[in-house]
Amino acid sequence: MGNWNKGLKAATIIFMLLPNCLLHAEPIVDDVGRTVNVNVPVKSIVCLSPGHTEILYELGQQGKIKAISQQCDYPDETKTIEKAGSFIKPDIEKIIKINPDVVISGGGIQKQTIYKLEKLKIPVLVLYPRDIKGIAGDTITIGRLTGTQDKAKGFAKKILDLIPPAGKTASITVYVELWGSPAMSAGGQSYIDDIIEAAGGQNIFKSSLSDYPKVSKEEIIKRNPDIILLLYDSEKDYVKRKWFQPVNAGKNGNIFVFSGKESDVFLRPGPRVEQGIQKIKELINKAKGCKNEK
Amino acid sequence: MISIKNLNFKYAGNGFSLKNINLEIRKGDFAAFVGPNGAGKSTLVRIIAAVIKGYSGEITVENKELKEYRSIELSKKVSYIPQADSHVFNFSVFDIVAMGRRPFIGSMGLLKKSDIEKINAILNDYELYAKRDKSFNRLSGGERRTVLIAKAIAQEADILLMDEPTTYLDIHHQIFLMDRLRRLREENGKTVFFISHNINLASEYAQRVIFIKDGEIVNDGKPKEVITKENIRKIYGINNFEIEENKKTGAPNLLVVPGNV
Amino acid sequence: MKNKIILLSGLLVMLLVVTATALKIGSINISFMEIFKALFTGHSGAQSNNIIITDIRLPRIIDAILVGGMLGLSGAILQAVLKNPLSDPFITGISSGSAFGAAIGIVMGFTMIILPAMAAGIITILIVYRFSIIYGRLNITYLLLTGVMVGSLFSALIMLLSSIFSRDLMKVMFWLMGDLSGADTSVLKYAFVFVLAAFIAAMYFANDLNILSTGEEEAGTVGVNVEFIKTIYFIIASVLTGIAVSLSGVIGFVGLVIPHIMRMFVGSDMRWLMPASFITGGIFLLLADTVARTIFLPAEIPVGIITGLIGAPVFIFILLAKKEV
Repeated sequence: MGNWNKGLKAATIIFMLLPNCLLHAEPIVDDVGRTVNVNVPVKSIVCLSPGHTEILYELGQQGKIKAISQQCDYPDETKTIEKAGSFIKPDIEKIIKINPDVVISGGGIQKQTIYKLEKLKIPVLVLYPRDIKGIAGDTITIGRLTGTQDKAKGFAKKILDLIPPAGKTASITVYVELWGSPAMSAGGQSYIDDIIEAAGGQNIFKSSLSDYPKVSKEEIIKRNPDIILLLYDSEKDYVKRKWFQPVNAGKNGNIFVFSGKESDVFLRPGPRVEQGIQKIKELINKAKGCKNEK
Repeated sequence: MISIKNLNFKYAGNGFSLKNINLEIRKGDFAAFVGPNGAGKSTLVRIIAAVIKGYSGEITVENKELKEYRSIELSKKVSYIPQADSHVFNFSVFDIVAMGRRPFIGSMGLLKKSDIEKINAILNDYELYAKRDKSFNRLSGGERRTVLIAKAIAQEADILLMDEPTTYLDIHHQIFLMDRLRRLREENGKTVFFISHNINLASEYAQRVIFIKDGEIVNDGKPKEVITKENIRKIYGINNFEIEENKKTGAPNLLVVPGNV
Repeated sequence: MKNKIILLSGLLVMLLVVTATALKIGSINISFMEIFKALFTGHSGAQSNNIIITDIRLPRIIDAILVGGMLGLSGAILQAVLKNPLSDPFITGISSGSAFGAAIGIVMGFTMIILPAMAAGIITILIVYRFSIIYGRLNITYLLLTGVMVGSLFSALIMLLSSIFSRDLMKVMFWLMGDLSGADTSVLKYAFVFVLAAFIAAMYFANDLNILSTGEEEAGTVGVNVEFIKTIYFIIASVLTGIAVSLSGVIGFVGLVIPHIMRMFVGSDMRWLMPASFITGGIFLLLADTVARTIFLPAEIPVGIITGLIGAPVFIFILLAKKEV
């Protein structure tokens, strides 16, 4: 009996030490509710979602990235990482060759790829954050994946702090235009709406049910935005647009264009969310200044 | 008026052809093209009317090569009435006959008072005046045929080419039409060529009968000369008939005698 | 004849009424007094009302009338040329060609989508025309076949393009579904001139088109220059369709149904059918667009959805009421 107790104690100590230094399979729930078993911490990752590539860099885990999608373009160092196809059409054969411990997918259009990889027993996590909270949650998940839980927790908290307290009404209204012909804006469920709110602004089309509604120029005039954001490469004379003239943004010269890579901080949910919010905060302050002058 | 020399024609992709046709259409002729189905009668008429192009040989209308005529010039000299007559879109009887006035009016189709008077006169003559606002597509086959003939008359061309004008007409309309055509020839000096399967009608009214078989003209002459037992037997391959003279007119008539085939 | 004049006058009156209504309603209801002031004196109560009337609603209304008219007229012409009352302007494939040009424009970030759309449309017309000339004549059967083939080819290319540039997929889709909100006064001026020229040309040879619609043989023997008439009307119809599609995307139903319905009222005489189809096409599209931009404010529905949803039942109703096609 004495030997038995000694053995049990030893086994218990070893068993308690294991989780922190040895691999084990952990069930992880992804953003679309799938439970996937992944051997954590992972040593090799293929990341097909630009926002999450950025998170990996943020947590210092870029060394584990074996391949990314062509659209993963930030930071600059991503240029040196091997590409496994595009966001819409990932290169499945390359991913199979790499045989990573986990694949991070942006979901949706990558469905076919996900099914194929699952069949080959390669773990795929679908991470698709719809708002600022989602980015924090995904950061935690990636922390678990890479064994950097503490750093992840810290960063997630920083992000959650960006969310404004509920019930605060914004004084500055914002019209964000994602495309010009026809005019497409963003509804209340969209990510950019979240950012605008976090920056202290109010999206004039927040009440719209669809994510990216086609909006009427008359409505823009009626809702009289203080700031207009054009998040695409618009025509040079955008300030001359007739329906921008009578609104506050037009009168005070608060129309701003962010095209190409510049618009990524507003449209790509990721660790640069703070930059995006900060940029809009600056614009809101400028607009506030114009209002106060009246 | 129309001179055809060494006309040869072959449908692309089909074996069918007209071989070595030589024909003179003289002013005042009232002639019938007769012959078995598929002999080439319709093809020949359509070539002369410039509906089918791409023949080899020489066709001159009033001493000018057919190929050199512009549509509008030719339409003042030659009018053509096709076999098929149902239209996709609907026009009134008056409108259809008015289309015959195209050689005299511009592209917009503005009818002068004289045009309208002429059209009404023709409608009257062909017992169509009461039906002039009726929809063409709603008429019977025979009535439609009569309207198309009225349209050709409105063209005022000297030469009328007709593809089986009497085929769908009842006996009243057949005789009515043939009488009108004869009058056009005698009073207005028109030249009429028509295709017919009714040998007797051709014999009674035409002064010239042209038999066509297998793309060639096999007989061409007065009815009495060409409508003979031997010719009919050779051309149609039938035996159960007799040729007898119409006691009233003297024209040869084919009488069918049913018997063993 | 008198009936037809009354009918055309009635249609013009209806057009004015619908225009006035369209000027009035929208996100902001503006009174007729204000509309009058804004249009004719340039000074209305609020500056925003001025701009809404003259720079947003009026160009859009003119766009709708022009595009609806072009589609109606072009449909009427093509139905006569192809001798098929079930043809629509898109059967020649030119709409797919223009749409492909527009898709390229969207993906490459052009701001004036109308330019690549028009260019592609013209190239399509030339291709289809070239492949329809058999033995020196414009062959209607080949025209139909080539049009359908070219249309399918460009549709496939649009899908290919959209799948490669999926970020722009939604923009392409919105454009394809038809959109009159991008109405630009300067562009409309050019379009108007073209439409006027095309209309005059179409009316000039209208009776020849009547005769042609009864059959090519019959037309030729009565003095019509068949090749010329076929060609010029094919070009007029194609150019009108190309302009319409370049201005506003692919709006279905108008070009097929309007001439069909108007034929029941004015007959097949193109001298009446063409103006009637133009005016009614304009009325119909203006109505549809006004509904599309007001029914679910603040969002706008693509106008092509409304033309289909209103058009189909209306067409069936009229068919049953008149009991003839």
